Amino acid sequence: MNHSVIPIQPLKGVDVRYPQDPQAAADIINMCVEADGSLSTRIGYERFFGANTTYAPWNAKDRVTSVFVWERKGGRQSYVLHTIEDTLYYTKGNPADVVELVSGLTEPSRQDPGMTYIPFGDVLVILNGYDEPLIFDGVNVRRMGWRQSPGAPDVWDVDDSAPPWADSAAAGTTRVAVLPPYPDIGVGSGTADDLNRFKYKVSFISDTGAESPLSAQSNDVAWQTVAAGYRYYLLLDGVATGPEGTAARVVYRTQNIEANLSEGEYYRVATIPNNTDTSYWDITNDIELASVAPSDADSILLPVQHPFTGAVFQGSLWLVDKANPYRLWYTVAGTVEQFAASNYVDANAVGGAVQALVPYRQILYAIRDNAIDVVVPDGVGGFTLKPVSHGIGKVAPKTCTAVPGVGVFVLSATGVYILQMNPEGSELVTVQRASDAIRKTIRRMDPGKLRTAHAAYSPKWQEWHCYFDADVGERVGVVFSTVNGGWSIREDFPVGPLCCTLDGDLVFGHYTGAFDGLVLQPRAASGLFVITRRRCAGHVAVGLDQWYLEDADPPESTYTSAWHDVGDPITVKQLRYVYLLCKSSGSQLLTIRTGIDGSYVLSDGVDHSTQPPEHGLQPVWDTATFGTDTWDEPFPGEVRFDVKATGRRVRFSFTTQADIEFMGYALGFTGGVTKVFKGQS
Amino acid sequence: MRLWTTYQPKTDILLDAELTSEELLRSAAAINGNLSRENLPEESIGDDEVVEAAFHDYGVTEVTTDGDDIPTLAVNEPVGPTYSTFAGGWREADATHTFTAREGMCLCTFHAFWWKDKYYDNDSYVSYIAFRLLLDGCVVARSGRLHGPNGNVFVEAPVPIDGGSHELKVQYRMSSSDGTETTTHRKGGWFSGQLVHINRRR
Repeated sequence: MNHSVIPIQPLKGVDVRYPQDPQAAADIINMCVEADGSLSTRIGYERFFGANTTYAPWNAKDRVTSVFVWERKGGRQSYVLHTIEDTLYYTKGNPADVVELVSGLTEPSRQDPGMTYIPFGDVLVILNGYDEPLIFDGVNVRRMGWRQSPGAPDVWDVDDSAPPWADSAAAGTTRVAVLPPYPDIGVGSGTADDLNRFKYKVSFISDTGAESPLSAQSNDVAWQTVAAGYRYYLLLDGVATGPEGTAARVVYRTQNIEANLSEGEYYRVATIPNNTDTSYWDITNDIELASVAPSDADSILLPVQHPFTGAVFQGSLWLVDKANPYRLWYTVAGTVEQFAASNYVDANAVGGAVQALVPYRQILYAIRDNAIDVVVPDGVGGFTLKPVSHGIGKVAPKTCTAVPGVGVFVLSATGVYILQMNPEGSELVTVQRASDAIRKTIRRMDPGKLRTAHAAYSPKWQEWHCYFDADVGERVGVVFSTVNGGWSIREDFPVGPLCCTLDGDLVFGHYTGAFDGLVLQPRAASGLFVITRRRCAGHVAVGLDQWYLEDADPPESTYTSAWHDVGDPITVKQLRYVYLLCKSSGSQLLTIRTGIDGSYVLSDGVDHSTQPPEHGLQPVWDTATFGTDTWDEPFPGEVRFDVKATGRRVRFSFTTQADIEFMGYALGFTGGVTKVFKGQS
Repeated sequence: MRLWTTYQPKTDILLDAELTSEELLRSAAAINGNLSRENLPEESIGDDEVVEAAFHDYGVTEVTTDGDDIPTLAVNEPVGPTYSTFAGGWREADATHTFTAREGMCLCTFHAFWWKDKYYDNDSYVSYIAFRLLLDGCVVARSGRLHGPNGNVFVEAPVPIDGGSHELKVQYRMSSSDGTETTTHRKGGWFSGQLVHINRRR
């Protein structure tokens, strides 16, 4: 029988808008887009430490509330930091275990987005909006920033009596004189009878290179030059030692106050290269003092006590405090914890509080309640906020992700938005909602749990993944593929916080952990997992006392085509054949079902395998004969499914756990004479 | 570097050559690859697994001079045509220390008590004795010139070493004659010498 064949290729993503794009789909669930544009079911998730037979070291642990993969030295050192309850851990390779880094943190509520991790140079800044910010250098973790200035040092008096000295110097005085003929060594004037007076200050230097505010000035040390050429060593005592993370102290001194008739500037004398010495001998002549000390405004005590969001931009670390989400503080360029007094930008009240800072190329976005601003230089050495767009409502801060070649993706209560720079690359930005094609799925989102949504981009998968609470207690994912620019859905992936490694693997923390609402179940899934091509949706525990894990069944994948009317929506036609253009993948059974005229009810299924129809069966695992059968490769071909669906609009669907990779399809129609009935009363 | 599944061969799935190879390669890389000084301490043996001050092996050989054999010279008169037969040349002790090492570090040591028969120094004559330590024929440590009548000498050098057989030797030399000694005069010597090697992992 002759029939018309309508080819549909290439395949696009989900698009539920009417009129439907024939190449789009009504449902793509648990499928990924391969590099050649085909859709495949080769996805799943497995536990992080695959060699362990249980979920160890996370057996019977509560949910993971944050995850971050910090890779240093080109990926040779890898820390997967994560938080469970009030403790921050990182993974260790050998043995497969975790190291407890910090405990006693504030545990996030079920509406909190969790920790924020910001790599800065060789260290990692960790903040959560409740506790003090931390710095992790790969070995130790400590509090960030300066919370105290050094105490003023004591300077010993000088015994300026003339030699020879018959007795010891008086207590609290030094008598170490530099005698002629050394004119340039020693403190003070070498002219007889000249008056001398000096003061000192000190500062701390952290192991990240940040300098603390200067101390108060020391006491005066004063004397009169006893004879020509007499200068002295001065002893600083009680030099303050700094808090954890202090690597050195810097000593500053005035020039001769009596000679200048004013206190004048302080100058750098020396660096004490440790945090243990409490005394220092100064022998520096005034002519050697050249470097002026920083002012009091160049370094202040930590101005952000509970930062909740931040970014690295223009060489500075930018932070926003929970106590004042209208002010953006930034560090002195090149340092991670030194703040100058004027290093902040205030946002006006109209745009609302800052929710998230997102750096992208040469722009820093400040996403606020009612506006999207960008941070730009103000032309006088500082920065200012420039509004570029209206707001997009409440956003999920952990979904703000830069996607190469597209822009910054953000999930808000109204959908997924893409922030893009204009083609010339200036700071102007366009804001476009990109999730209208999947609005049915967006409507399932639980708006009260918006802030717990997480997202990440994987260059290996070429996908942007975003997971949020939906359907009251379920976790649903929306996936944007940069290969075909289309959307797909993920279900039954218990993805909580999510992060991408340098290799492009998506690591996530289990959303519920082993907590079932009442107690921690010993055999329940918990800890870290990875989205991979392992054909299993996690694992199942087998056995009783000595239990171990086996792979669970693969995730259920669904493809439902668009409604096809072949360009003539008023004529009844009969869908007779569905030709699935797919790559052979072994003896994988596929069941095609059809639907008509908007109905959710699907017909009975037709089963065929993806083996090539006109050729002999390709060898498959478990039945291939070693030494006889050969390795093979998939080749694309049409598999014909004979169906019968009569209506004005028709579609087909399959739900499978088999290994499928298909690139398109064609529909074979007959009929086209009967027109639609008149409307019902 | 963590590596996870890129392809899982299961029942009834095609015997795909490329995907199977890719998965095997990644599994092999996870076991063999990407070890470096940066991550090896975390991925392999750490300090906790090694006993403090542990080392692979050590050895000692007693060495001393053939004291009566050291010639002296008449003024300006060489004893023989070769370098080693005049008092100013490097002479080698007969006893050598041979050992088998494992790859790592080798601390090579020589110590002894030395003396000089005629030791007085003045403006025109300064006598000395000097030692050097050779590992497989290469000089790894020198003592410099030792003056005075007697004393202890201690030369040592930590040397990176490969696995296999190695040899430690000691050489010594003395200053030339001051013009008053006779050919039968013994210039000096050393005794209670020990050649020691300590082969360590690091």
